[in-house]
Amino acid sequence: MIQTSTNSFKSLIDEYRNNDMIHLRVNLFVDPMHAKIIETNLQDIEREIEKLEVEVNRIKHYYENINSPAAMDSTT
Amino acid sequence: MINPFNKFETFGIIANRGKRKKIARTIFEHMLELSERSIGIPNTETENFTTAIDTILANESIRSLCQQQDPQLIEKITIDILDFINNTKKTINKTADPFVKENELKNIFQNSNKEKFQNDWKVVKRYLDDTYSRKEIDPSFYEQEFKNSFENKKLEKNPTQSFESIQEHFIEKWSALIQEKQAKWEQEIIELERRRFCNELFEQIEELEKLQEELEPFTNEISRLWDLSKGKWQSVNFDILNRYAELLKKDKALQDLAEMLGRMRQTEKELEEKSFSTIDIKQQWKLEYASKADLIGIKESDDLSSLLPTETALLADETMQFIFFKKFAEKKLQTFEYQANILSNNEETNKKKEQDEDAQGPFIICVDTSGSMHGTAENVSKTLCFAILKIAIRDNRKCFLISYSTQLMTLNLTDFKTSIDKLIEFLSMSFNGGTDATPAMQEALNLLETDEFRKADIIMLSDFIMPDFELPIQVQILKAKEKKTQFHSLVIGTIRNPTTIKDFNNNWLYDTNNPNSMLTLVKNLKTF
Repeated sequence: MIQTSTNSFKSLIDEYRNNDMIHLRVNLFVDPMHAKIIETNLQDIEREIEKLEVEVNRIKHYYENINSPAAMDSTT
Repeated sequence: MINPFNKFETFGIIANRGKRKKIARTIFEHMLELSERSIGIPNTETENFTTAIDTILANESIRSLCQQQDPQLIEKITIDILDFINNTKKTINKTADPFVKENELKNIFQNSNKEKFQNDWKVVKRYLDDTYSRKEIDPSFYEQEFKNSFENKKLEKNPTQSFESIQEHFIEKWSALIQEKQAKWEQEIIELERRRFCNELFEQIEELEKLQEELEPFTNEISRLWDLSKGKWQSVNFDILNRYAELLKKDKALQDLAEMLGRMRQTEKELEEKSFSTIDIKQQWKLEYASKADLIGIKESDDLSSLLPTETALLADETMQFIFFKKFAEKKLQTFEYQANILSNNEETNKKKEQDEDAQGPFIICVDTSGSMHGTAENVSKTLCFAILKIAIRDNRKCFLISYSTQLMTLNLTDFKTSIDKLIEFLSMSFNGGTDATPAMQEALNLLETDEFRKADIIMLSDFIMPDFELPIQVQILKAKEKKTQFHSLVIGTIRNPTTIKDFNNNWLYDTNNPNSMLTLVKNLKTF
């Protein structure tokens, strides 16, 4: 469920990047310096979403190994 | 007003200046209000000191001290707590950080990239396996995640995350663990230091209670005793103070005499005239006729620049010219009259005279400790000194004691903390040796040159069995008298030595053979 949501967010960002932002650097009304900031922000958002996914994977990993000899509990 | 916590606020080494100010104020107000709650500043703002501060403030001994509601004492305790914070932080900074290596390893991995990953990860994984349980951090999970990111399995349903995202997540988790360990380590040091500080504090409070009892004859100002209680006074015998306090209680006349001598300066309150000059600037409109701003009429003058055209017409005819010249010479030419209103600033100097009432002045006591004073005279002079010094401490007056025989001993009672042991030494010593009052008087006269004792009066206690003062000293005494310094002599003995006491403004005799002598003396002083 969470993975589906994050995937859709990531696709939205990709779509935005590939369609709406493609001319960002050559846009007459956008300073190239500001274009870089927008790109970095997008990249950061994408990374934060991916970190959320890693966190979900981690919780899942702990849950699946709850009965393993390592006796791991979720620390979250 | 001087900020008592300025040292901590300016030079403290925890947090920033604003937060240090907040910490100092909160501790002070917390103690003043006897609050039972936590100081309410999170540990992150106090660099883990909140718990320790709360524990110190919750202590019963501290709370009972604070119940006395003495702001000066609370100020001093606050300064001690702030010193504890600073010193503990210094100790933490000086102690070798056990997490340096781990932080270095973390930084290396944080800056690692896909190419260097394999090598760096091996070291990191080994370190994490040895240091942390899987419950805290599981390297095998991250290893699998990194592996997936390299294989770049872009599945429709379950795409993998980028290497950078996994790396960031991993570093965040690891940093949190290091921070947690570091905070725990710091808190252990703080706790250790807190216990040491509390032990010292409790010892100081015990010492304070003892001092309060022992120095009761001298002062009841607990804030003064707080500073004193930091010293090691176990070896000092305070019994002597109590003995003289008892003597003083029994001899009411002696107490009165000391009070009278203490008041000498008070009765001579000087009224000093001080003149002040104040400059007031007042704005007012001023009329100026030279300026041609407004035309207000016509006048007679010789101002050629304001001539009426009818007057200039006189110059058109040769015969009429003379009339013009006549009018000019008589200043009766018709001219326009102008005027202007100009705003000008006027300075007014006011001189005021103010009468300044002199505060209670300091006094210098010269006590003869020669062998001739041994016995009753010794007891009387010591008790009298004790009483005068007590008044000085009570009234916060500056007082200087000079005891002399063949040698001089000086004692500045302005700082009670540093002089109490010298005072005990003076009260315990036995009087012996010859009398030489000249160096003592010279010392007293030198003191008059200092700002601190410029307005002091000099009281000399002696049997005055001694030669006259040397001539230069006598001249200096005369000069000091001109500056309104009063010289009092109290002869403790049976006879006055007229040649010596002539240099003093007031001379009194305490006849050691007459039991009613003190009462007579006090009566004389009261009528003075």
